[in-house]
Amino acid sequence: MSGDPKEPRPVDAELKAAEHGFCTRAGAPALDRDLRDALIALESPEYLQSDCAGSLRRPLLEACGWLIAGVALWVVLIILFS
Amino acid sequence: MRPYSGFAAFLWTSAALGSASYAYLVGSSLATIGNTWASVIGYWIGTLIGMALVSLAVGIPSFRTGIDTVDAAKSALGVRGSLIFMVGIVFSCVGWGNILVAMTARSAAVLAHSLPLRVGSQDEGIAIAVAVALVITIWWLASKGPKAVERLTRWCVPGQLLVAALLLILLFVKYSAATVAQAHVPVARMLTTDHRLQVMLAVEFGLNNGFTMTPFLGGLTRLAASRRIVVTPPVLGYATGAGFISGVAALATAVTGTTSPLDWLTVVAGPALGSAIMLFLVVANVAALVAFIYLGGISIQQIGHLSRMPWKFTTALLLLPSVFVAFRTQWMLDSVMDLLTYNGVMFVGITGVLLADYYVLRRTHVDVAHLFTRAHHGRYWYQGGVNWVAMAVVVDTTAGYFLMFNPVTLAVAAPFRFMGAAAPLLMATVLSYVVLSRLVHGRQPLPEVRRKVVEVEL
Repeated sequence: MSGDPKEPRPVDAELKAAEHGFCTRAGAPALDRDLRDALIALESPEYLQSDCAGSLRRPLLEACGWLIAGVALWVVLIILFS
Repeated sequence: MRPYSGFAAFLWTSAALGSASYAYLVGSSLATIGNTWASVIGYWIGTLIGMALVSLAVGIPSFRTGIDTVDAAKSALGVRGSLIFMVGIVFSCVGWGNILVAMTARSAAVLAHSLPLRVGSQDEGIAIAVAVALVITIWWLASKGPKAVERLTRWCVPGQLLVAALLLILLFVKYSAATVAQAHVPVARMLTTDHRLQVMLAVEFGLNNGFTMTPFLGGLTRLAASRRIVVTPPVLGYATGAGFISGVAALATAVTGTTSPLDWLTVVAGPALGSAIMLFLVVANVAALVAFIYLGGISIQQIGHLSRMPWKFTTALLLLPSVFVAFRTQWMLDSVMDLLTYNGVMFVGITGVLLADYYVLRRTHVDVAHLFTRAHHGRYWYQGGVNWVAMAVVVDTTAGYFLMFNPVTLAVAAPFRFMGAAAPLLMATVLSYVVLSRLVHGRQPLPEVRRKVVEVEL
């Protein structure tokens, strides 16, 4: 830990503020240990090296591919039935 | 933590979501558009496009961060503004859940007529008794949590798809392939004889069906373990599940000339098998109802006080309106369904705002810790916790939608014939949200791409 220990670091302040805020799972207060662990896990080396944190290139290409395919089929349908 | 790792399992679950029992009712409505095949194919294409957009807007962000849609939407709508999204979700879940209660109860009353025991004027009594029994059953099952939902879906959905496949086979066996291929409702009953407009209406219905997944898809993709399965299985599975059941119902309606599923089930499958299938569909509705109440319960737990309430009381709270509905099933079907259809339109605007915010303004980077920060220094606090720009754009889009197309009266404006309503409005939403955000908020600083690992003391 670095910096002045008396001065709350931004992230601490955010997390403590969140204690009075929303929650993310059934029956749990906003900032329970699960949420805190989940937030920290998102920044862990394991997560950053996992497939979920990798490039979004493939899912974006897939989604755009389906979008273009759908629009192309829509045009074909209009031509066929109009 | 992320149970879905296989392509097939995720595809199956998504198909399950698309193949709820009310897809039979949707299919019967599709047939009345005009050309049956144009309607069925157009509906599938519309759902495919809608799901691709929803996948971009909420599926990918939730997959990336591991949080559900209401939380992920806070970056665009504001930490408090996301509550409006939650209200829409709860309204949809509880509303459509109660529509299903009413439909199931009325179907059971009609079904009772086909049994040897004649019930005569006791129809209303049967409907009330079935509705009350359903409410109690749903509460009992929903109280058991996600495991019960998963188990019910596992058994009911394959059954629904098998029943639809059986009905399709029966259609081709009982009527010739040529009859099925050429079957359309009589011209007098068609919504329009304009072929172009028929295609547009079918695609519009499909697009709206896709957009209704906006509140729910993030909850599913956050459970996916790999980028390989996060887009194609939900898009293809949901569109095909919904399209298949609706398509079978549309063909059956066109061939038999009757719009009520109970009527054409009896004609296509015969009185005994038709009644048995109807009974199965009534039971299968319970799975969808439990899922609706479960999703609604999860959503209202975003509110601090309700999050501390025991789960059994939360589900009971959501089912309170159902107790009233049990005694007024016909009123529910006559009056509330229109209101819910109007409510669904807001998801077009929300999808557009989420797309613009995540890809154009934030370049796919969201600071998750700030999504849970209810304080002025939070990055997504905006003004009083609400992004009023997003709210204004959503309201504008919804109003514009009704000018282009009224989903209840089906009245359309002239431009609808060229691109429908949802597609051009979604593009307008993206553009107006980006421009207005730049004007009002300026160029927002992008969150750091990689934040350092932080030590947190509680």
